[in-house]
Amino acid sequence: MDDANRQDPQDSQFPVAQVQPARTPGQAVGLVVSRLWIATLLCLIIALTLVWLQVRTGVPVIDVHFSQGHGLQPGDPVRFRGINVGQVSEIELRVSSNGPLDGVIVRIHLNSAAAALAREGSRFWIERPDISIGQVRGLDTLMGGRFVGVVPGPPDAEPCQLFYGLDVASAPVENIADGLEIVLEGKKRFGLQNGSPISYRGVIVGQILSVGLTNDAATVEARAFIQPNYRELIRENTRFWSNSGLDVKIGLGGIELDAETLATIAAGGVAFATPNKPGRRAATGYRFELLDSPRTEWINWQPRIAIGSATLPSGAATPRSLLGNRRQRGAMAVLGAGRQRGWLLPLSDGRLLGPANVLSGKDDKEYLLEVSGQEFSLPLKGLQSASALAICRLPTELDAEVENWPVAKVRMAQGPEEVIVTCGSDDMTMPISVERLSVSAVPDEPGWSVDPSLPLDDQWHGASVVAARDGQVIGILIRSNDRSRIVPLPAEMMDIGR
Amino acid sequence: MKLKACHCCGQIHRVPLLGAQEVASCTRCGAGIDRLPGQSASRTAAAAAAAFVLFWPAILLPILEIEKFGHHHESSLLFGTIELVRQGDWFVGSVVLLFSVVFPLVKIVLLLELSLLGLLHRQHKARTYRVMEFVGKWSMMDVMLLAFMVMLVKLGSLVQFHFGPAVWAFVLCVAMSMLASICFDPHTIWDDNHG
Repeated sequence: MDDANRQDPQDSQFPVAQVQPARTPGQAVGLVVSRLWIATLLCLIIALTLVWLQVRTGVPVIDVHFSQGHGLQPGDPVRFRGINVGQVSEIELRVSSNGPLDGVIVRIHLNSAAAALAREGSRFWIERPDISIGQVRGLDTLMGGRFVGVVPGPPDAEPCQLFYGLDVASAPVENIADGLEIVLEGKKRFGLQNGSPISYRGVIVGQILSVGLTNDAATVEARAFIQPNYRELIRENTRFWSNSGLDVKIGLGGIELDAETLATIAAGGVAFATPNKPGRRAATGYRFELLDSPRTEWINWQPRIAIGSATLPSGAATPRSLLGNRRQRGAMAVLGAGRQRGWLLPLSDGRLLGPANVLSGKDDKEYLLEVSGQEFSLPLKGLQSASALAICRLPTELDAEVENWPVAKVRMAQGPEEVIVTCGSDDMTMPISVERLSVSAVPDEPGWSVDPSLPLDDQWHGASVVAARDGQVIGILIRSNDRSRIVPLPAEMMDIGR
Repeated sequence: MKLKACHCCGQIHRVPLLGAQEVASCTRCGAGIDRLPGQSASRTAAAAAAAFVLFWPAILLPILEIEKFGHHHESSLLFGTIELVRQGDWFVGSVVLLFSVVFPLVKIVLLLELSLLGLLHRQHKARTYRVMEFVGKWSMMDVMLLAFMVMLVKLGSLVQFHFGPAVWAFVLCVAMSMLASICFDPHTIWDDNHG
C-alpha cells in the first residue's frame, strides 16, 4: 500500500492539504531556530540566579564551640534581638588535642544581612528554659526548639570565624563597650552570683558579670557592669554595699522586714550611693570596696547627676567657660569693691558672651576684668548688652589660648526645655529638667526661674545652658538676689553673633 | 507530494512541498499537519533545554522550609526523597524518586535528544520515541506540584511553612517540559530530509 502510494500519489483518492501562510511570526520568518530559544536563555538566567541566591558568596559560615549541646539540632535558628539571623547547619563532636569528644562544634550559617555578627567579641550561647526565683527566661524554648543566642562584639572588631560559646544560658550584657565595668571587692560573696542586680535607689542600673576569689584568695572579687545610661552615677567616691537577702529586725516596736526586691532575696544584689559632691567619674576597672551594709548617711546622699536623657548626646561637646573676675580699678582688692565673678563663654566668631554685670559696670567708674590670668580694662570693644547678658569682642591676647564654642551651636529657645547647666567641668555640670523651670514673673528679672531647691550658688553665675535635646547653647544662668534664672539668648544678640 | 494523516481527525492528505512561510492544514478539521521540517524540532529543543536547565535547581535547592513548634527544617526534593529512603520508607521513597525525579529527567533528556540531535538512526529514534512516550506517561512532576498545593491548604494553620527558591524553578520546569511535549511533532522523526 505504502509503496503503491509513493509510486503514484497523483492517482490517490486523498484530498490535497490546504496550504496557508504561517500564523506565528517565528514560522513566518521560516527560521529553523525558533524564538523559543529566547525563553530557554531566560530560563537559564533564572536557574543561575536561583542557584546564586542560594550559595551566595559572603554568606558567613562560623563555627562555635560549646561544652554542651543542650539538645540543639541542625536547622535550629540563631536569634539576635528576637529574630532569626541564621541557622545551625551541622553539629558534631569536637576532637581536640585535650582529648577526643570534649565538646561540640556548632556550624552556623548566618544570613548575609547579619554578617556583622561574625566578628571578634561576639558571644554565643544556647538558649534553654531557665526558671529560678530570680528570673524566668527562655520559656519559648520549652515548647519550641532550642536556639542559639548571640550578642555582637564591638563594631570595629575584626571579622572572625571561630567562636567559643558561653555555657550560661543567661543573656550576656549588651552594649558592654559603652557601659562601665568595675570591680567590687568584699570579704564575703554576700550571696552574689552572675546576673545579680546592681541598684541605685532601688532602680536596677547594672548587673554582676562574674564572682570569684581574688588570686590570693584573700577577698571575693565581683565584676560589675553598669549600663551606659547610668555610668555617670559611679564616681570615685561612690560606696557599694550588699543588699542581699532579708533584713529582719526584731525589737520592741515589732518585727521589721527589709528587702529590695524578690530578685535580690534570691539572687543577691548590690546597692550603691554617691556623695552629694560627686567625685571624678570612675574609669573601667576601678576597684571599689563592697561592704555588707550601708552607713546611714549614705542612704541620705542625694547628688544630682545627669543621666540617661538628661545627658548630652554621646560625643557632644560641652562648652568650656572661662572664669572672669571684675573689679573696680584702684579699689583695694581686699575690700572687694565692685567685685563680680562669673563665667564667660568665648565664641568662635571672636566674641565673648557672659553676664552683663561681669562684662560691664557702672558708667562713672573704671573696671578691670581678670580672665585666664590676664587683665583687661572694661568696657571691651563692641560691647552690647540686653536683658542681663552682654556680648563683646574677645581680646586678641586671649583668642589663641581659649577653646571656642562654635557659633553654629548657639540657638534661640522658644520656651523652657530640658537643659544642662555647665561651667565646663564635671563637678560643675547639672541637669535641670523642664519641670523645675518656670517663666519668670518678676518684670526686672526676665527669663526662666529655676526651682530654688536646686543646689545652685553664686559660683554658677554665668554658666552656659545647653539644650539636652541637641547640645546647643541656648542661654546663660544668671544669679541675682540669691535666685537663679536662665536667660535665653535674646534675638538681637543672635544677630550680632552671626 | 507526500501523504500525511491529520493527527487530529485522521484524514489522510496529500501534502505539496511547502515554502518557508507556509503551513499545511487539514481540509476536514483545520488542524495543522505539516510545516517546514526543523521548525518544530527547534521549538521542542528550546523548551526541552530550558526544562533541563531548570530541572537541577528545582530538585537540588530547598523547596520547602517548614517551621513546626520552633523547629526549622529545610529540604529539597532530591534530599527529601533520599531522606525518606534512609528512614526506611523504601517503597514510598523509591516511588517518589522514580516518578518525580528520574522519569521527568529521562523524558526531558530524550525530548532533547530527539529534537536536537538529528544524528540518530531512524530505528534508534523510533525506539527512543517509544521509551519517551512510556516515560512521559509516568513522569509526575506536575502531580508533585499539586501535592504542594494540597499541603499548603491543609497544613496552613498547623505548621508554618514557606516555599524555597526551588519552587520557581520547579514551576517553570514543569511548564517548559509540557511546552516541549506539545511542540514535539513525532512526524518529523520519519521525515526523509531530516536525519
